Amino acid sequence: MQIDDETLMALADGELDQAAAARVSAAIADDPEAQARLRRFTETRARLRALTAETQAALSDDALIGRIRAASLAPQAASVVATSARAPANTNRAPLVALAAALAAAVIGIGWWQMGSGPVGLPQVEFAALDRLPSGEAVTLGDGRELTVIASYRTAAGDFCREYETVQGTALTVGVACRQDGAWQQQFASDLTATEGYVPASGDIAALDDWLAQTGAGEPLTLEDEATALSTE
Amino acid sequence: MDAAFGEALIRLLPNLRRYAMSLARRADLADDLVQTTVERAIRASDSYDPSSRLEPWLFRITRNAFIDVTRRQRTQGIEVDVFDIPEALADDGSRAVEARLMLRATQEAMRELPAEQAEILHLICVEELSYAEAAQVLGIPKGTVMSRLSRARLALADKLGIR
Repeated sequence: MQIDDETLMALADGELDQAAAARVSAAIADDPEAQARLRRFTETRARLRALTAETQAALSDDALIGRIRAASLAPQAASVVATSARAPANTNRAPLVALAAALAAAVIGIGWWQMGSGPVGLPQVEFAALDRLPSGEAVTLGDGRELTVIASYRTAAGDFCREYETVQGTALTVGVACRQDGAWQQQFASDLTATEGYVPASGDIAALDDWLAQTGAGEPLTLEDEATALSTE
Repeated sequence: MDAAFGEALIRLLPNLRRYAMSLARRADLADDLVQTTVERAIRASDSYDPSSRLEPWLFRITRNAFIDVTRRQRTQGIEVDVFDIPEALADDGSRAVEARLMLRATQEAMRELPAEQAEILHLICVEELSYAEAAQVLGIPKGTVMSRLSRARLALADKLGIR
């Protein structure tokens, strides 16, 4: 009886129940070819598992440990929010908790608005930039803010949406607007205060996660698809 | 957030760092990812179901944070890969040297694999998640986990000369 690779792998990984494991082991007992295939799976696992020996504590762990223990000591603040079980995407509906907590964080979410209160129309200057700029390009607005388009998305409902940020000094706003009936409607905007040397790459923009999850927007559009959407709609 | 959750989170910091490193392949970025994961985990601790293991739940947060970063970095230029691990082969018994060479070869092979394959290998063979847990982290069906993992295992075996 020929045992396929995935079954041998499941045996090597301890994913078969006892009966199945015994059956497969018996079936390959006299089959050197299958045993060799099994060995490829057991050995790759052993080699990879050895990588854990490399793990070292990082210097910054001490700060994180302090941060976690501090959060354990202030237990009740977080429990009033985020009751949607198993949906971590929505858990940042507690900006104040984040604020109180963000001692060691490189960036502090100081507030966000308009989630849940319906989209609002955007000023004309931002409107024009979103209609025209490909992702990755920036333009300076009349009031001195610099607007950079980050990415474009298509929501599950078919709306064409653009993620963008505006920067003035250390004031950074990340927002998403969608084109509806020919006009850009802001879906949300989140203010972040950039600290010195901070690159807003891994900042706390969970509001964006929320939006992506709620609207079913998938991967960002490719530049080609984006160009098509910009020129046809 | 209760203290038990906090202590469990602290215990898993090395695992988080390791997973972040496997995703980001850069120590500074991995550091940021761990930090973001911890902040989000603290805020989301109420949505964690204590009857399931903490690892997959945390890894999913890390992975989402990483997707955030890459989405934004596409437009911010590529930074240099600084996967620097100091070589320390001297003053060691030959067995230790051999073990370390094997380790280097494994790391090297992982880096050469497509990111999708390296990721699933890491979750299951390094972090020892079950197939079902990995499916949950990656948001794909268990059957897809198995086919992707078996292809990745065989590709790794080829690179490492395991016949």
